[in-house]
Amino acid sequence: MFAVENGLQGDPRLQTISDAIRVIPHFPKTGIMFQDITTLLLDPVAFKHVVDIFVDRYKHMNISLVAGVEARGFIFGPPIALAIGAKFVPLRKPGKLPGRVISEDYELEYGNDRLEMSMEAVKTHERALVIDDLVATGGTLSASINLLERAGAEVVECACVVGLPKFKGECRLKGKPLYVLVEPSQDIRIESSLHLLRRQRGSDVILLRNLHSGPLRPLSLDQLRTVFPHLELTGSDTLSTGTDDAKVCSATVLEALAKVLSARAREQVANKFQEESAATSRSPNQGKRSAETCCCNPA
Amino acid sequence: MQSIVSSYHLCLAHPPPPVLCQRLLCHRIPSIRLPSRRSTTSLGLFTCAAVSRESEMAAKEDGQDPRIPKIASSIRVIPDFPKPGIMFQDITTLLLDTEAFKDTIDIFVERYKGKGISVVAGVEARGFIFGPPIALAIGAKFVPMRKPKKLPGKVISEEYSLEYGTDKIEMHVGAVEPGERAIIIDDLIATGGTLAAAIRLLERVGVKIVECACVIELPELNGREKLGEAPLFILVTSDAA
Repeated sequence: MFAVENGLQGDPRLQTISDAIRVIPHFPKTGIMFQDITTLLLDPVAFKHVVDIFVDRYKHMNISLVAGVEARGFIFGPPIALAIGAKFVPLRKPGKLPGRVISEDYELEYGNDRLEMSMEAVKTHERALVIDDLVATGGTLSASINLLERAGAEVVECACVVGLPKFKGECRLKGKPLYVLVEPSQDIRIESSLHLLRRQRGSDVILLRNLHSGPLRPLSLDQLRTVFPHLELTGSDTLSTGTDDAKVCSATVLEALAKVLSARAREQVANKFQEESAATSRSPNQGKRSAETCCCNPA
Repeated sequence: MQSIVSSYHLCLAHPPPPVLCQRLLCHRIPSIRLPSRRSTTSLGLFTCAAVSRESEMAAKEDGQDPRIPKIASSIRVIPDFPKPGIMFQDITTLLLDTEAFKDTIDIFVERYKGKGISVVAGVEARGFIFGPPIALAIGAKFVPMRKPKKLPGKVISEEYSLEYGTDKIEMHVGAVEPGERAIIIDDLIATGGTLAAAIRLLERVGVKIVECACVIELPELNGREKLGEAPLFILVTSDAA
């Protein structure tokens, strides 16, 4: 079940949370669009929203144990546990927990993994919450539920910040309800695509064509730098034409950009260009070396 | 055996407080053989009962925080883990004690709130447990410092020495900005290698380390020396072996 399906429809905090999550394409391997919550942790307002929403939901459910899966569950679990007066139980990779442990094997895409919990963690019949940053296959959460139930706890719910859309509605994991704040973010930030660009340096030069409708808005090299600070553009990176347009181009890089930039990101860049252009046109002496720029759409 | 030292005042020029002498005395008592899975609720309190009483009195005399003894006693010591000879300081029992966990965080928050600290860096993985609650309470961002290849996107890394070989920790590029003021959190400081690497990482990008903060210090391992000018704040000291 997603937060929007359970009373938080239109809650602006959910958009703030979603916007704070960065997508890294092709990590850890090609084809995976990694939902990176570290950018959410850099935003104290968004991070607090996550904790507040979970705390509001769980504080009256008589939960005495919050279990967090290593390692990102360790980030979200303790603040919730502290706020609702529950203990925090780390669920760890093998060999990390000292003392007596119980283990549960679970399947990965290729091979198996194992999760462990301390045997001292659970008093029988405690009501428990399992927390992790993201749910994809549900394998890790299912293993967590098994561990807690074998130790005698009653798992009330599993909670995640991000979840695939398939977990909407009454979807359950091993019979336990699942509560998710947001779907995976589709927006690839400019910053994410730029680390692709970095790998294409050297003689490659990037052609950025204007996307938004209306007449072309030429921008100066300085303005290009403002919007793409990571490009480290210098005079030698640009080709000047008779009209003083600075162009930076590369077909292969363009193609890479086209694949990762979402419509929304393109729109954001286009808007930014529009603002910059308006500022330039107000002061005619600036932007003498103007550039035809924007992000890509090869069509 | 554990002792309790409050480290609000870290200036080495001051003579050690009375409680430190109690700790040394405690070591000379013939050691009691412990079962391999000892809980602090049994023998731990028994062996240190005398010390606790004296140290509590000393604590009140020198203004030690009264929450510290409970925090110290909630930490379980597991002998010979992960290998023979090591007395493992297990904070998972502290996390099971809601009052002790809350007190731990409260002490750090009281110390760092309102000091212009905008970055709380936590070292994987147990630093991830203590760092975020502190960051949230003081309005700072939380920056995870991780083992290699865990962080996606662009990172910077710093190598540090182990007993045999080296390891690395990594931080995201752009997570912090020059001029920010940071604290670094971990559950324990032993040799200080990891914390020193974390300090170097942050200083490389122009961040000022206000303090390193740990729940536990193993002073015999001299980790403090590796931290350079960065001060160290700890709640509890214990023996490495």
